[in-house]
Amino acid sequence: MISCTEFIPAYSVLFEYLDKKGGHVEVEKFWKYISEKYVEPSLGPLVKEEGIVGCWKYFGGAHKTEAADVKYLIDPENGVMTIDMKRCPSKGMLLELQQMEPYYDYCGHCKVIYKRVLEKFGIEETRDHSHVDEAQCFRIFRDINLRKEEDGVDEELKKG
Amino acid sequence: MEVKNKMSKVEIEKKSSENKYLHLDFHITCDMGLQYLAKNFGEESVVEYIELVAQRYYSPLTRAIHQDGLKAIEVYLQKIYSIEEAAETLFTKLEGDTLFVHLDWCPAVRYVTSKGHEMSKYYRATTEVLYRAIAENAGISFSLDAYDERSGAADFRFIDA
Repeated sequence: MISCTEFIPAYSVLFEYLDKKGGHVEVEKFWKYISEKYVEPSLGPLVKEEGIVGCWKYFGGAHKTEAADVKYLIDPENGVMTIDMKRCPSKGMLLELQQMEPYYDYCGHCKVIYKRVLEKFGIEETRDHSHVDEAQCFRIFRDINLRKEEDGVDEELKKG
Repeated sequence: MEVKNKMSKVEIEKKSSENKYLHLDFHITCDMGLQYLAKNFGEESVVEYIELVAQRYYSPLTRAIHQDGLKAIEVYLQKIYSIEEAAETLFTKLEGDTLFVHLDWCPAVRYVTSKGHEMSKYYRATTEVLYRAIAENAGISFSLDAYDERSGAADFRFIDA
């Protein structure tokens, strides 16, 4: 058994292995596979039924068992949510490992696997990956079906 | 905290110290990765990949085996099965130059099955290939004597002779 607490390094090595097989495009093909076969069956119904609140339920649950340092701002009425990942447990673990380097685009998988599902249900996701090398990232989710012309909530919710 | 669509904005902050790091769904993703490799690159790619994991990630365990012998493996197994909240399934016996290991069931297989997924036949590699590779990297031997794919029950040995 690879313990679930050991999975993230194994996941990073999988990306490395796939990259060796066929370059980054091969890694992206796998990410799309995971998005379709694993993420969509669980995230999709939640978002379809509950929109932004469904998003929060999905990511809140995952971040709990992954023991993340994270802040959520949820504005259900306006269909907006932000996730401020102050310390990603996965990237954080990889950065702390002495025996191996993370796959160079490890964080790229998060850009792919959720967005494709969210878009299907009218949720637009924007990500800031400028601090992933510090195990941090920032995301804004917008329910385009609830978007108002004067979207003033953006200023309050944007990361400072 | 419950969030309803008609509520005003809510801010929630979670610290890692509030929760135990145990994301069991990763067992599903792990098996999906093995299935993907087998389907797209052949069964030999599963072996190559697991051997690479042994080389990349498990090198500290290899070093520990060099230093402390078979006891290092016993300590490692006891630790991870405890973390997985499945200590009761693991039985180890260190006798001379052999570490005997028995698993009544595998927590990964049990969890995946409980979620309505079927663990693939490739998951066996995370015991057979992984431990063989770790053993070889450490200059010892490994033997898988029994493995049940439905439950992950297994009997295996590490031999330092």
